[in-house]
Order: sequence, then structure tokens, then C-alpha cells
Amino acid sequence: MLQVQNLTKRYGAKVLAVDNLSFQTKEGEIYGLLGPNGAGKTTTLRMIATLLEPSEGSISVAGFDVRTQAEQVRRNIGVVNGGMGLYDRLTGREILEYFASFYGMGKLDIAKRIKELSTALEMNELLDRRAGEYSTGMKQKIVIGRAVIHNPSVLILDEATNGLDVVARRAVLEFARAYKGAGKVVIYSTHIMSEAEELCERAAIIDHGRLIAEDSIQALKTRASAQNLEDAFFTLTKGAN
Amino acid sequence: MRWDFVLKVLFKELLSTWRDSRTLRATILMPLILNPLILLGLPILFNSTQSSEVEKRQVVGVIGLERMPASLKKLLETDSVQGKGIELKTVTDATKSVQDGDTEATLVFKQTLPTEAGGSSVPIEVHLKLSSQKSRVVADKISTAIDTFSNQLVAKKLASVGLPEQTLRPVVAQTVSADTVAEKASGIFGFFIPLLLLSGIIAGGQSTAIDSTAGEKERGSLEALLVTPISRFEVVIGKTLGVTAFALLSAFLSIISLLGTGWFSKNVLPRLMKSDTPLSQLFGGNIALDAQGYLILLLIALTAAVMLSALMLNICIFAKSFKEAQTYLVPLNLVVSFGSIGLQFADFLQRSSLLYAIPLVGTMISILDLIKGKGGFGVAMIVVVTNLVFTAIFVALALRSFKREQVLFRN
Ligand SMILES: Nc1ncnc2c1ncn2[C@@H]1O[C@H](COP(=O)(O)OP(=O)(O)O)[C@@H](O)[C@H]1O
Ligand SMILES: [Mg+2]
Repeated sequence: MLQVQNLTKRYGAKVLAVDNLSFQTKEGEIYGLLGPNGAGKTTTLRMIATLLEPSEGSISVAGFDVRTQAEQVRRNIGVVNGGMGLYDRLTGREILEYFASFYGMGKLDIAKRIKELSTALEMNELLDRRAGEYSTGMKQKIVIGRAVIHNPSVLILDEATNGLDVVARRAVLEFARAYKGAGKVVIYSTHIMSEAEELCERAAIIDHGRLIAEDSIQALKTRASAQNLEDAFFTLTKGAN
Repeated sequence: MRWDFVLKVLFKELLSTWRDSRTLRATILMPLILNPLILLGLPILFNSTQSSEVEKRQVVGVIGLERMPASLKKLLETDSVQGKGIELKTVTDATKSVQDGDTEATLVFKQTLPTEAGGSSVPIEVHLKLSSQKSRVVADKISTAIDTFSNQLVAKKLASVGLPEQTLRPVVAQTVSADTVAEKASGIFGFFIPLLLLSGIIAGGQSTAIDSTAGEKERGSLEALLVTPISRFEVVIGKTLGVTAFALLSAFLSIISLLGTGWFSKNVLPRLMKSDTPLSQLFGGNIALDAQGYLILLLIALTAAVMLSALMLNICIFAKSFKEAQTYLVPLNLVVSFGSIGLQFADFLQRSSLLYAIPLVGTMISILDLIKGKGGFGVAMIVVVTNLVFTAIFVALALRSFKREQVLFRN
């Protein structure tokens, strides 16, 4: 579904943000990308999303290469990151329609899809209000709805629960769990280990742009002889440095 | 390029800006109110302060009052058709009393004035602030009085030998205005018109330019847009068109308000002010064009609007936030303002095709030419082509910025 091979990214001459990173995901899983702030998670995900060009290495999404088939890749991914926002003076529905139109969806398809999403994300009655009036939680629902409006096979969630309250956080986690399934994969990037432990089947731990370990959550804990993922994370990253 | 994508972006920008009524009022309606205020207000203000100065009895210092003949004193102090007379006051330091504001001017009589013409000329020093517009009125009053006094002596001398007063002035020059209708209409305040038009364009386009670039970055919606299948070129074109639409709307409203102001000052104002010479005739600031002239003006405004929109988009995409973008746009506003002030001296400029090919400068000069009735179709085309060429350059540069990681993801 998603293959990352020997991926390297430099910002200018000094910053080596991602260093020879390789991993791959399977259909129907939630795959964790774990690491402290500055580890290179966002940089990696932006390269997967065709927003940044890799310095070296290759990425393929649903069989398409990010360099040569960028548009096909984009049709197959949806991206949510913690810093994403909306157009304050447009309604939630208008925002969803705007983004849907770039995937070549017809009016009827769009309306049907918005109805589906508004049920799944519980946002019915607010859809026709302007986004500027939304709560943080409602905003994040629209951000997620916008990312999956075209039903992409790869959903990237990058620190997607940043700044959300307990209820909104729960809604995001539940949506992620519901979204994985036949032909789909969710990449869940976070520095919060408890979230990853609760949600992910497998995970890659990265630090300073390098892969420290990649395995199922259970195996990672066993390998570090740790009670929980957070302890395992500390043991593994310390061993690597 | 997929036009449906471009139109989607355009429409979204239009909707988003249109709903921002506060910004819209400030950037588009304000110039609409400001234009007439400036174009009518300045001349009215200028005119009324000038005439109130004439109707004032200024204090003028004198050194050597005993040397001043009574007839000259009377000429200075008496009211005339030119306005009120002046009040004389003995002072000790000529320049200082003016600098301190005790007197508006000071007369210094170093020698006794002659009572008869024919001897050598005797100077009277007049100390006043040459840099002040206000001093001109008192200077006029003083020189009129001294001239009259001088003429009286001459007339007396001529009469004594049996010659009429006109002997010394067998020929007089009569100035007749050779301004064309358009030049008369645009007058000395004509240089304001390019400024109002270009500021209108910038004011109208800037909120969309900021909102659709730095604003999208600040809100974190740009990244979401760029991961959809739309290409960055389509994004840039759509946004440029969105900015242009509001820039043009604003420019169009500016022209309408200019025309309205012209009509008002020609037809209504003279009746209100009960004056024989309409203010517009004295100071201008109006447009009088034929159909072709308006067409050329529209063409220049249109291409200038697209070019400035692409330029603003370029400037704003570098900013991380709304505030930063506003700061970045200040120099552009300054260039236009200072350029327009420089336009007052456009008559001294050596016109060449190259001049019209300088972006913004060419636009301003050609608009001024046009409203003065001098604009040829040829130079207007140079300006139009220049604007289009620079539009292409700015679009290409904006596209480059939209592709650069440092610009889009600067943290
Ligand atoms: N646009 C950029 N220019 C220069 N350096 C950057 C840029 N973006 C990120 N970095 C640097 O790259 C490294 C990885 O950052 P990032 O991918 O954001 O990490 P994470 O998402 O794991 O917190 C950090 O050291 C960060 O400072
Ligand atoms: Mg990050």
C-alpha cells in the first residue's frame, strides 16, 4: 500500500531531517510513525503527500511513484495535520464541496459523500454555519472530512489530536479506527505514545530522521522488556543514541 | 491547465472576500468616499484659506518708520479691492521678528525715500518667509502698495513734462490660456488621478492577495489545497484572477467616483459657492475624455490591475502571516504615492518610449497624458504590453514561490 525506501531529506546543506528511512505498510492497518518533536515525522509525511521532494530514495503510494505520478498519488491520499485550518468565511459544506471538486466528483456524488461523512463524524446541524464560528472539535471534524472526501486509500494523520479536548480527541481516534479496512491504511504520526499504543497495530520509531525500530506494538514492548510503549520508546531510542 | 479548477479557486476567493464585509468596506468603499473628499476638499480648503488670508489685516514690522512717506503708509494700511490693508508696527530686528512670528513681514527703510522720480532707485528691504505659501499674500499686498507708490511718483514726473502715464508702458502682455479642454479639466490637481486609480487598484486587491496567500498559510489551509490534484499553476492563476477581480472592481468604482466628482464640481459646486469661476476651472482634478480616451483608460487600468495583482500575490506569499503580509505591501503603496507626487513635474520629463515601458511609471504617466488629452494610442499600447509582459513575469515568479519548500513551509 505504502512503501518508503531509503528516504533522505535535507533542508539546505545543514539540516538532515530524514536519514535513509525505509518502512512499508499493509492494507487494513493503522501504522504508527512515532518520535519526539523534530524527529522528521512531518517531513516524511510531506514527502509521501508530494508536498516536498525527497533528496534521495523513493516512495510509492498504492503503486504510484511520488516523483513521476504525483497526481495519481494525490488521488490516493488524504492528509490531516495538527496545524490545518479552514476558511473562516465559508461554511463547512462549502469547504467540503470546494475540495471535492478537485477530485472530479460530480454534484450528486459530492452531496452523497458529505451526507455520509456528516453522519460518521456527527456534524449534521453545523455544516451550514460558517467555519469561523466552529469549536476546535468541529473544525477538526471538517478538516478530517476534507481529507477523506474522495475516499483515499491512504489517510495520513499527523499530530491530528493536537490541541483537542478529550471528546474531540476520542472522535478522531474512533474515526481512524473506523477508517482502516479493506484496501485502506491509516498512518498515525504522533509523539504521544499512549495514543499510538491504543490505536496502532504496528509502528516505526524514528529519531533524528533515522529508523530506530519497526515492529508490532507488542513486539516493540517485548523487545525492550517494557510494560508500556512509552517505556519501550525510551529504552529503544536511548539504545540507539 | 484545467479551467474548471482555476474557476473553482477564483470563485472561492471571490466568495471569501465578498463575505468579509468589514475589509471590503475599508478597502473598496473608503477610496470611493476619499476620492471626492481629496479632489473637492483640497481646492476648497486651498481657496478658502487663501481668501481668508486676503481678508486678514496682517502685522508688518517697520524699521526706519520716519523715512517712510505718508502716502506709502496710507497705501499699505488702506483696504482695497485686493483685500484688507496691513497693520504697521515698529520693530528692532527685521529677520528675527518674522522668525518669532511677531510680524508676517518686516520693511526696512535704510534711506529716505525720494519724493520725486528721476534720481537713483532707493531699495526697501522686505523680510519674509519665502518658503511659506501663506507669506505670499502679504508679499503681494506689500509689493502692490510699493508699485503703486512708485507709479504715482513716475506719473507725477511725467505729468510735469506734459506726458501721459502710459508713456512708460507703450506695450503690455496679455496672457491667454492655451490649455485644451482636457488640460483645463485636469488642471493642477490632475496628477492626483493616476494616484487615486492605482491606489484604488492596490486597496481593492490587497485583502484578497493577503488572504489567499499568507492567510491560507497562517490558517493552514494551503497545505490541504496543495495535496489535492490541482496543480500549483492552476492555484496561482485562480488566485491572481481573484485578486484582479477585486482590484478592478475598486478601480472601476474609483473612475466612477472621479467622474461623479467632476460632474459635481462643474454643475453643482459653483451654485453652492455662488462663484463665477467654478473651482474645477481653477484647480482641475476632473476627467474630460472622449469615447476612445475612456477605452484606453480602461485598457490601461485593466492591465495595470492584473499586473499589480500578480505582484501583490508574489509579495504576500513570502509572508508567514496576515500581519507580515500587510507590512510587506507598505513599500508598494509608498512607490505609488511618491511616484504620483513626482508626476507634478511630469511636464519637465523627456518623453520616450522607454519611459512608458517602465512598469508603474509608464502607467502613471500615460494616465496623466490621457487626462490631459495628450495620450496617443501608440504609447498607451506600450504601457499595455509592458503591463502584460510584467504580469507574465510576476505569475512565473509566483509559481516559483508556490513550488519552493522554503516559501511554503517556512516555520
Ligand atoms: N522548512 C524547513 N526548513 C528547514 N528545516 C526544517 C524545515 N522543516 C523542518 N525542519 C527541520 O527538520 C527536522 C525535522 O522536522 P519535522 O519533520 O517537522 O519533525 P517532526 O514532525 O517529527 O516534529 C527538524 O530539525 C526541523 O527543525
Ligand atoms: Mg511534526
